[in-house]
Amino acid sequence: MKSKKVILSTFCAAMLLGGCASQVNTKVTEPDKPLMSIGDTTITRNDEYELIKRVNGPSLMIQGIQLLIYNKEVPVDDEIKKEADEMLKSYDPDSETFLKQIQTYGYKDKEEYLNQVIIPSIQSNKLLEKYFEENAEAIEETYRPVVAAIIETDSEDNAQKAIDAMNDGTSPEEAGKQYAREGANYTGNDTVITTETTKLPTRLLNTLNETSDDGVLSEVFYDDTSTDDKAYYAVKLISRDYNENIDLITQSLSSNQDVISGCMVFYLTKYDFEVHDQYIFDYLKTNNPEYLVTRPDLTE
Amino acid sequence: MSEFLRKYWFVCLIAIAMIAMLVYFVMDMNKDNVSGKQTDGKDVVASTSLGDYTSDEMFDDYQGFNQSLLYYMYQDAVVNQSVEATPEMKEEAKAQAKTLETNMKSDSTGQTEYRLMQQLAGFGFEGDDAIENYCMTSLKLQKLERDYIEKNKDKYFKNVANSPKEISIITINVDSVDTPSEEQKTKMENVDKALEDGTFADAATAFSEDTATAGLAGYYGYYDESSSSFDESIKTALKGLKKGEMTEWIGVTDPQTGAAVQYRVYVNETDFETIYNSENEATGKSALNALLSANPGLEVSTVRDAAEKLGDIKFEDEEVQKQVESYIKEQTGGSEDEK
Repeated sequence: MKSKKVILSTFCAAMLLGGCASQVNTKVTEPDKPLMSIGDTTITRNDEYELIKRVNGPSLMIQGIQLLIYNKEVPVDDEIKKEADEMLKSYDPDSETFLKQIQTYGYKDKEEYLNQVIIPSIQSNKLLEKYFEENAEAIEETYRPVVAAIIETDSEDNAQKAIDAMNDGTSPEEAGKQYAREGANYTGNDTVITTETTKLPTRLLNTLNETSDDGVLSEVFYDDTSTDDKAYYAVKLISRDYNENIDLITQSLSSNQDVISGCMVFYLTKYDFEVHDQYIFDYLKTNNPEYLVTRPDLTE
Repeated sequence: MSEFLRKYWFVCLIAIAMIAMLVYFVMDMNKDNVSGKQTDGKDVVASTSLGDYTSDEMFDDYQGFNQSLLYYMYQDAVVNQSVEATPEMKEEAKAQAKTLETNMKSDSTGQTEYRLMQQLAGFGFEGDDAIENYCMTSLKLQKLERDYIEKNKDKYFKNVANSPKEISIITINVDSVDTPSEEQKTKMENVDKALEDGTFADAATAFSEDTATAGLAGYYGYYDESSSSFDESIKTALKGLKKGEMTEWIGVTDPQTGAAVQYRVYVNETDFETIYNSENEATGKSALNALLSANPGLEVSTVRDAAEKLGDIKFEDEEVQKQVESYIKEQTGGSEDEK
C-alpha cells in the first residue's frame, strides 16, 4: 500500500511539473553579442530583439508571412512590375522631397521603397481579387451581392415615372438623368448592393434580396424616416450572377475591413500558419484571435 | 488485484477522479503554450507550409527603423547610472506605476495593456517591471534635466513663449451663462464681496465650486496659452494680465455637455523662473515640460552631458554607434552647450 501511495504521489508531482512547462520565447542568433556598454550595463543583440518584438513584432511577422503568401499566390510578374513602376513615377521619385520623405519612414532609396512598399501593396490588391474567386461561395453566402440600378428621386411621382420609363425600355442611366434628384447618391448606374449596404430603405434591401428575377421592380421605395426631405427610389435588378459581376463586387467590397481580414484568414488557413513565439501568440490572442487559425476556439 | 479493488474501490475511484482533474488542469494550463521550432539553427517566430519567418528576419527587417529605439536603450542606461534613486523617487515611481497599472487593467480585453507595453518598449522598457522602471527612469531624467538646465539657464529660459503664468481659479456652476438663477447670482456676488474684503485664496476656499481646486484655496498651477484645458474666452481674458491681477467673471458653456460655468481667474505669478522653481511639484513639472517643448533637443543634450561625465561608454557595433550618434546630432542640431 505504501508503494502505491508513493507511485501516486510521484505521478501527481510529475503532472504538476509537466503543467508548469516553460513558455517558448524566441531569441535572435548571437543573442549575447554586445552592441554597446554603458558603465556596468551591457546591451546585447537579444536585448534589442526583445524590444523590437514588442514595439512592432506582430506587424513585422504578419508582413513577413504575407510576403511568402504573395510570392506563392501572386508572384511578381511583368504586369505587377509595370504597375509598380507607374505608381512610383506618380510620386516624382527623383525629387529631393520624395527621397527625404521615404528616408524618414526608414527606407534607404526609391528602389527599396518600390520593393518593400509599392510592389507588396499591388500584390495585396491582386491577392484580394484572387480571394473573391477562390472563396466565392462563402463570400456570396455572407454578403449576398446583387447588381442593381437605383434612381433616387425627390417624390413618389418622379420615382413612378422612372419605373415607367425603364419599363418602356429607357436605360436606367437615361431615366436617372431625367428623374434623379439633385445631389442624389443613386442616379441609375450599376451598383453592387450587399448585406453591408446601409444607406437605403430596409424594405428596398429586403426586396432586392428576395427577388430572383432580373428586371424593374414595380414598387416605389422610400426612406425609413419621417422628414420632409425623404427620398423615393426606383429600382431595376440587373443581375444576381456572382461570377459575371465579380469585378464590380470585388471593387465594392475590397475596402471592407471584415473582407480584408477574411482574406488574410483564408490564406493563413490554406498554408497552415502557426505561431512559435509565446509573446506573439499572446498578442494575437488578445488583438487578432482570427489569425490564430489553428485555434478556431479563440474566435467563438 | 481484484481483491485490492474490491476492498479499496472507493479510494481508487477518488484517485482516478483526482488524476483526471489534474490532467485536465495541466492540459488547460498549457493549451495556449506554443511549440518551439528552429530552422537552420534559427528560432522560428511563425511558420507556414510555404516557409518560416525567423527571429533573425524580424531583427533584420527592423534595421533602418530602429534608430530611436537604440537611442532610448542608450539613454536609459546613461540616466540610470548617472542618478542614484532616492527613497522619495522610489516611492513616487511606485505610486506612478500603480496609477498606470490601474488604468491599464480597467480594460478587461487586455488591448490597453498591449498598447501601453508597446509604447514602453519604444522607450526601451520591457518585462514585468517595465512600468515601474519607466517611471523611475523618468524621475531620474527629470533630476538630470533640472541640474543641466541650472547650468544653462540663460540659453533655455528665454525660449519659453506662450505667456506662462501660475494661476488660481474660482468657479460657480450656473444654469446658463447669460441667465443665472437668483441663487447663482447671489453666489457670484458673495465671491465679489469676498474678493473685495480679502484674498483670492480665502474667497476660493469659501465659495469656489471647482472640485479639483477649491480644497487648495483655488490653486490651479501652471498655465500658458498652449493649454487645452481652458476656453478661448479665458485665454483672451488672461492675456496681458500681470502678477496679482484677476479677470472679471467669464462665462463658459461646454459645447458637448451644455454645462455652464462662471470663472474668475487670478494670476499668482508671471516670472517663469519663479514658476519653474515652484514648491508645488506639479507646477514645477509642468514648467519643466514647457521648457522642454520650447527647447527641442534639450533632453538629448542633458543625456549627452551625463554620458560625457560617466565616461565609461563603449560601442561594440559600429552601425549602432552611428545610429545613436546620428540621433543625438539630429536632435541637438549638432550644438554644444556651456558646461
